Amino acid sequence: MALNLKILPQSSFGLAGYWGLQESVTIPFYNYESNASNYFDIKDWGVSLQYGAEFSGSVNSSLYLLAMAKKLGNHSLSARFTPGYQKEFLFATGESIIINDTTTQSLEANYNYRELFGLGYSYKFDEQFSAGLAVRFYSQDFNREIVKPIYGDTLYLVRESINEKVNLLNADVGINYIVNKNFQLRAASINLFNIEDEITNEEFLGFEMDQKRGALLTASYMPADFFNFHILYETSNSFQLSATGYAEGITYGLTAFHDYYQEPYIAGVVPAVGYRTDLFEVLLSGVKYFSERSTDASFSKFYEEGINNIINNRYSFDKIVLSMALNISSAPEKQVELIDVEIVRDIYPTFYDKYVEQPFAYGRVVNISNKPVSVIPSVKIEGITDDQIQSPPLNLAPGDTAKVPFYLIIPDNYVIDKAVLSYADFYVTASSNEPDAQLQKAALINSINSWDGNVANLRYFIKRDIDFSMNYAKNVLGNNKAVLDTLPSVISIFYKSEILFNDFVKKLVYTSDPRATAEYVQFPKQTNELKGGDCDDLSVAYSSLLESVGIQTALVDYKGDGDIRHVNVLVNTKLSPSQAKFITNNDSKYFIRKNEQGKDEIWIPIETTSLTNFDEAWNIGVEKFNREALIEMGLATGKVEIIDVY
Amino acid sequence: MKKLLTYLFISVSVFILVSCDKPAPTQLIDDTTDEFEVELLNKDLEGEYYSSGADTSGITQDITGITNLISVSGIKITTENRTSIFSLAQAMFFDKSKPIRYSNGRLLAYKTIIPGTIKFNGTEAHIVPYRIRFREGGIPKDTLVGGKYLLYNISYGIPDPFYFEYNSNVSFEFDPFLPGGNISFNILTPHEINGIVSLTGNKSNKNLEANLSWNGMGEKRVFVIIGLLRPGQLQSIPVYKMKTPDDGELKIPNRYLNQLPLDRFEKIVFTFVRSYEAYHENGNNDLLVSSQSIHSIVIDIP
Repeated sequence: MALNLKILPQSSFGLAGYWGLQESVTIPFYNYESNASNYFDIKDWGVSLQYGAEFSGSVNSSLYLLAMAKKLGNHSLSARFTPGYQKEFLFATGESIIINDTTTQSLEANYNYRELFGLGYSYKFDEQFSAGLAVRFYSQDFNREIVKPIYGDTLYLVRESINEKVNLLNADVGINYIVNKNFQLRAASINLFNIEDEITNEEFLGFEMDQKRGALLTASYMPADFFNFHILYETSNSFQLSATGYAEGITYGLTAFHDYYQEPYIAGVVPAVGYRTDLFEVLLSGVKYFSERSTDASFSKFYEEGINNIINNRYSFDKIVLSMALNISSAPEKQVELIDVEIVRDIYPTFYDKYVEQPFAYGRVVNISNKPVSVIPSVKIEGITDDQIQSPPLNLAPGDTAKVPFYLIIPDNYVIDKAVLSYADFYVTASSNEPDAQLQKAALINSINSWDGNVANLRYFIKRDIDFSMNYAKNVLGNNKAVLDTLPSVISIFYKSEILFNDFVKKLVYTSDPRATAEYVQFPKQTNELKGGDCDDLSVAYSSLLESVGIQTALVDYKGDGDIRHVNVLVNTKLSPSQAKFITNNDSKYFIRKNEQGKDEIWIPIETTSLTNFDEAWNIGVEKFNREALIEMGLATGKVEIIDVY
Repeated sequence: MKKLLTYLFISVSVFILVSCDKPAPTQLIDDTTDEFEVELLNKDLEGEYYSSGADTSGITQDITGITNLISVSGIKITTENRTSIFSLAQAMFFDKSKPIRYSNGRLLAYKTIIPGTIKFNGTEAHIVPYRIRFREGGIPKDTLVGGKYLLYNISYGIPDPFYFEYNSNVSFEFDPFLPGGNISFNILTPHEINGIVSLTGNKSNKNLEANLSWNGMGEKRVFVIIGLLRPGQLQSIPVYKMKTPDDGELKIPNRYLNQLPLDRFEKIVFTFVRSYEAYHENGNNDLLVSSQSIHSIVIDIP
């Protein structure tokens, strides 16, 4: 029988015409025929169907296509079911049998070529360049009656049907290049990869679909939304010319196609008109052939020339096709954009609640929607937080740009021994659960012993090890219970301070920071274990011990000049000025501060680096405080600062 | 709104799925010359073949529907590159009032009559007994149905000086015994047919493939009769009669040969027949006039 019949899988023809890479209409992009690159413009999920009627004398309605598409970031996936993409041929096989000497019966055959389903994938490399592939699955159903001689005792002829299903898998690739807003290009293969079952029955040899390789090239010139011009050329010397447009929701297009395998030169046109919103799209198109069509045709012509396309060939009929698409996006449209983020503070994990009050980063956010939005900034830092930490919302008018703060909460049990470079993911979210935009920045996370040099932040070191300090202090004070019980309660704080100093600080040695380039502060437990520390470590440890038993302390920051800084401790004796005589007759040995109720209280400066005894540390502390804070007016000039621990 | 549209979309899709049919098929009209018609001639390949004797191509023919028959033939038989040439003319006239029946009452033939003298190309035909052989209840039988007119030329005018000319005419003359007018007319003869058979494969592998070709004239049709010969037998058993356009080639679908019990047969005979057949225009449609060019090729079955 026939060999090398030119029956080809789909080439570029689509039932809705050709629309280029236009974003104003979605439906045609589910047609892999001209879109092997699987290019489409949906935000999340898309569903599309094409239903139509074919006018062959009678009217045959068909569901041509049912497609689904999903966008995952830069990846686009689609699948389509094409029950209406089929063409059936019925014919006499040329063989006939004479039954009972007189009756002649002709044998018949029907060959049905179908595209069953397809899958598409594409990747968007950037705004200009994307590439993808489409895989389509075809079935060729051959049914044919034959006469078969059967010989038993006698010879007789039987009429029987033979059939064979031949599957074909076809894959093509395509690339899209958007040169600019007005000019776009596309290239795709035709029948690049083919895997076909081998025909086992010789009766059907030569009737299988041909897999002649080719390519298509397209160019689109789009000077304005309401008018675009496209040209598509296939290497088989077929081409399509189309003009499309979009204005106020109305889409319209007209495609004229020249098919190398059909007459006349312009074989037909595909007019289309539709309406589109963000949610749905409807497109009514028609296929009008300029040559006469009939349900009867010459077998010899079919035998000699075959068909080059299942849905568009010389045996196809005029059609009207209704296409519908639904954008069932679960992701709302992007409303805000995060332009940039600046990290303004390094992250010191010990300052666990500092970044709740002071943003560690600021971002620039722009409202790209046409309505006011409420923007919620949030941040997530790898290694610190499992969830996004939200900052207060901010209202933005359409088109406005604002600076938004990013706050951070560090878990108080977070431990990190060495500084690491991590990544902070910054998000801005408007009116839904999914972020509209995000940016990633490198962020330095210091160790828990790192300190930024700001004395005020030593309070975090004092508070963090408070359990150790409490146990230690209570144990020491318990050992001195006999002494403390004999003292008037009014001076118990003073004596507790003295006992704790003499027990703890006195046995330590002064050592400078172990790290030359970064401030390093020990927690009280570490200072106890290491038996020493510098002024920061000793002040932190002593303050922590006192605070753990309810003795109010403050840190005195002697800022000095240049790099020379010092810190020691003020202890609130809770004595009134009139009670100062219980601890000293020298009124220069204490400093009076008002409490929250406005009452004066006696505070005494203790130099924690004086590792002799409490009286000596008091004297040195007083001498330094009086000189630098009072006489040299350090408190007034800001060179000396008193920082309450709580 | 979005939910409503989603439900609407799904509803429309379901409606479309259940309501639509498939695109219109195209009926291809067979305008090729590939077609052929096959007829099984003989169911019984085991027994001896019995012919009505009415057809010189060696095939069986139902003669119950024929009132009167005049037949002229040019016959060639090719065996192993040697071709013998024969000419034959015969005529038989049946008396429809005298049927001959099988024992079960089914019509077998009619008695013949000899109504006068007949000449082909001016040579008077002999009157010879006309026997038909048939099989009934598995038992071979024959019966005399009367006489028929016969001329045959085996070689160089022997025994009868009747020469069949291809693409020409054979004159026919009838002189009745009873008073009445003589009848004479010319019988148009077809072009000579010269067949070639390419038989490949072998019967043990059941992959015999026969490609036939002949000098196609492009008009009307030819018959190809396929027959089988047992070892030692001279008369073949015709199996298939295939009618095909006179385009000069035919590939016999392999299944027709390979399904036969070829291991019981030694030779296969392909008989090409190009014939003209028409009822003589005497107003009664009761005289079938036939002229044939016949070429039989006998081949050993590989």
